[in-house]
Amino acid sequence: MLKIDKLSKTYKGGIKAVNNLTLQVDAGDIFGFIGPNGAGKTTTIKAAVGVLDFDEGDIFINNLSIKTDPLGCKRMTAFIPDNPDLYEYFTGIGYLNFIGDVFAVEKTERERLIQKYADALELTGNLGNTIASYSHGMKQKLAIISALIHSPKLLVLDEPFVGLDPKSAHTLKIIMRELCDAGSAIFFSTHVLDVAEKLCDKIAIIRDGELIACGDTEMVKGDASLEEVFLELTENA
Amino acid sequence: MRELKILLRVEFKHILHSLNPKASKGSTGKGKAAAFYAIILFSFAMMIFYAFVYSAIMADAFTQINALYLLPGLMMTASCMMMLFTTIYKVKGTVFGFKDYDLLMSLPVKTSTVVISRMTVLYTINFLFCLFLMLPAGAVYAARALPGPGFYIAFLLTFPFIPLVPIAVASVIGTVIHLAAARFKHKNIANLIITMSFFMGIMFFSFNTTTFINNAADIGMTVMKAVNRYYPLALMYTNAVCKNDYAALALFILISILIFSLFAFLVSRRFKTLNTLILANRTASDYKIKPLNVSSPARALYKRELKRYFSSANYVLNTGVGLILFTMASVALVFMGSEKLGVVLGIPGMTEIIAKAGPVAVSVFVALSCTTACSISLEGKHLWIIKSIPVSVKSVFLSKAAVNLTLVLPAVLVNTCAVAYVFRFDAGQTALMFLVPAVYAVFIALTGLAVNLQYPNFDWATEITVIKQSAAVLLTLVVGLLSVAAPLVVIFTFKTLDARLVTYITLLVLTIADVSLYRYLLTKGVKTFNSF
Repeated sequence: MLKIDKLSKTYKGGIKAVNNLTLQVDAGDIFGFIGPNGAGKTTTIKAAVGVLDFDEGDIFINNLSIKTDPLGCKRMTAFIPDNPDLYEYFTGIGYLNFIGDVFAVEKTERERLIQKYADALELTGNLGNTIASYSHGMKQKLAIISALIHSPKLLVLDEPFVGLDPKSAHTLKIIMRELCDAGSAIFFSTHVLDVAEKLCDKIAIIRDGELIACGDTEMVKGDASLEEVFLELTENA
Repeated sequence: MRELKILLRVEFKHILHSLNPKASKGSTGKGKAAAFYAIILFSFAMMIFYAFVYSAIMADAFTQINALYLLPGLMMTASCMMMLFTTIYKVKGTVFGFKDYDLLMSLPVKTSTVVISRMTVLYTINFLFCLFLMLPAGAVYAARALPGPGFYIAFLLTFPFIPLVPIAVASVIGTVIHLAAARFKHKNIANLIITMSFFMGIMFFSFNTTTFINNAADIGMTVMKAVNRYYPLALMYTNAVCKNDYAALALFILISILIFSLFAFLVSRRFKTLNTLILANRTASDYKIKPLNVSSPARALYKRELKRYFSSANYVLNTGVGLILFTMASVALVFMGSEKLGVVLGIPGMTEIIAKAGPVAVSVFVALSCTTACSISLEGKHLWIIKSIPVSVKSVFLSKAAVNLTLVLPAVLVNTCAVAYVFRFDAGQTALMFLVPAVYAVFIALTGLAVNLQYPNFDWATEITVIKQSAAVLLTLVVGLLSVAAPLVVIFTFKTLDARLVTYITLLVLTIADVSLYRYLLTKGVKTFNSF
């Protein structure tokens, strides 16, 4: 579903954020992407969803290149950034309807999915308020709902659990599993290694822009905990 | 004092950052930066030049009736009015409701220090305004009246105190407007309506109190009489500067300091309460999903852009007031006729200007109404949304340009009908009267986009920074005004030339420019946008 092929990205000033990174996320996978701060996780994620240009390599979503067919790729993808900065002049429902419009989600399906996910995340009652009045957690929930209402084949999330209360975090995990069981793929970054260990089928560890481990969760962590493996790989390598 | 210095350094760094083309996210070469600085210098020079010209015209008129002493007071009042109107909508974002409020208030800094730093920023901006308007006026007066040293001493002594009262009054009005608007669910729209009503009220009031007089000196006298009645500081200023009245001088400075200090003191006392009230949002938690209105992606983008526009009183006031005045003037033209309207608007020879160069002349309002020059910067931290959804950059650009045209074209149409009716234009003249401003509107909208792509600023702390003080907005304004001024200069300098021929050539050149800009935006513009 998502294939990152020899991706490299250098920022102004010569800082190489990602270097020759290759990985693949298959349909049905929940793929965790972990690494220390500044390792290149957000750069990789933003490049994968077409928010950021990159210098070398290519990224394919369902065999379409983000370089040559960005709109085709974006139609299949949903993205939630690490900080849910949404249009504060919209009401919650107005924003969801805007996302429904640009993804051309059919009216009844749109209403059904908004109801379903807003109820699950307990945000329905607040959807009539302007986003400016939302707390960080409410904005995060709204961003999650907006990502789900167009039934994406690929869901890319940057630190999705930050700001969510425990119940909503639990609900999100269930939704993520349901989506993958239905054939979608999820690629997400997190610093919560417990969540990654329990939730992910596959894990990649990045440090200084390069992959230092990648594969099935069981294979990556072996007999140790993911935390132990992470600390060993990122400190000793 | 140390904390105040640090806060001020941060504030001014922010303002300078927004004006620095090299700080923009796009690639900025030396040539681009140099061009920007040249145009900024040019705009300042033009502002000073116009202040000189206006002062000289008023000085001539006052000299005829032996009342030259009124000139400094008149220009001081004009400066105060300008500061008042421009400060009202700077209050939110500068004094209250600024983005780093939480961060600042959590620092070990006194509330009064935060307030003083904010007021100092307002003061500095207004002081610069005052400098550009008052120095030329003072120079013209000095050259004509040849006053003694008392004038220079009083002029320089009073100068730093002129902005104090307008800032305090504007801040009170701005605060009251924001407090009233905060009671509504859609407080941005409420704020816009209240602010617009206030400005309209002021216009209506001045309209009703102004007698129609045809002569600049009499207008000046009448204005000064009214001003002295409603703004006694103006009389004090005139007496202090032109009549060596030391008591008036001391009183002017003392009253200015007292009013400003009282305002600063009251704000310091209630700073947190006022911020909480202004930042508060009315919410409900009983929403139920209702049937939704479905739109096409292009229409959704357009609606989003329109919503963005009307969500900000600053955005609307900075780009829409010209259009409202334009429409009102057009309607007034039908009822009052061009001669009387020209007198009311203070535009001598308006009939001749419209008859000869109407299509180009009215386009000045179009040039003042560019919504696109800050529209890309305004995406700010939300840029990720537009870049991650399946819409082409072309449709994003078109939605931004469409909003600009939605606002401008109806005003142009009203104006065309009014002018065509009053001046009994034939079909050809009427068509030109609509086509030229319409093509200008496309030109301004596309220029705004192109310039904003070259000078973007996504890291703003308050939207006023990009709406009013950004490199892109200033540049677009200069380009727009120059594009209108050029054919007008040709028409009125080379009087033997056929004005209609110049208008046709303008139309042709603008159409070519529109097509070129459109092609540029769809090629290089798209690439630049993708690189952000």
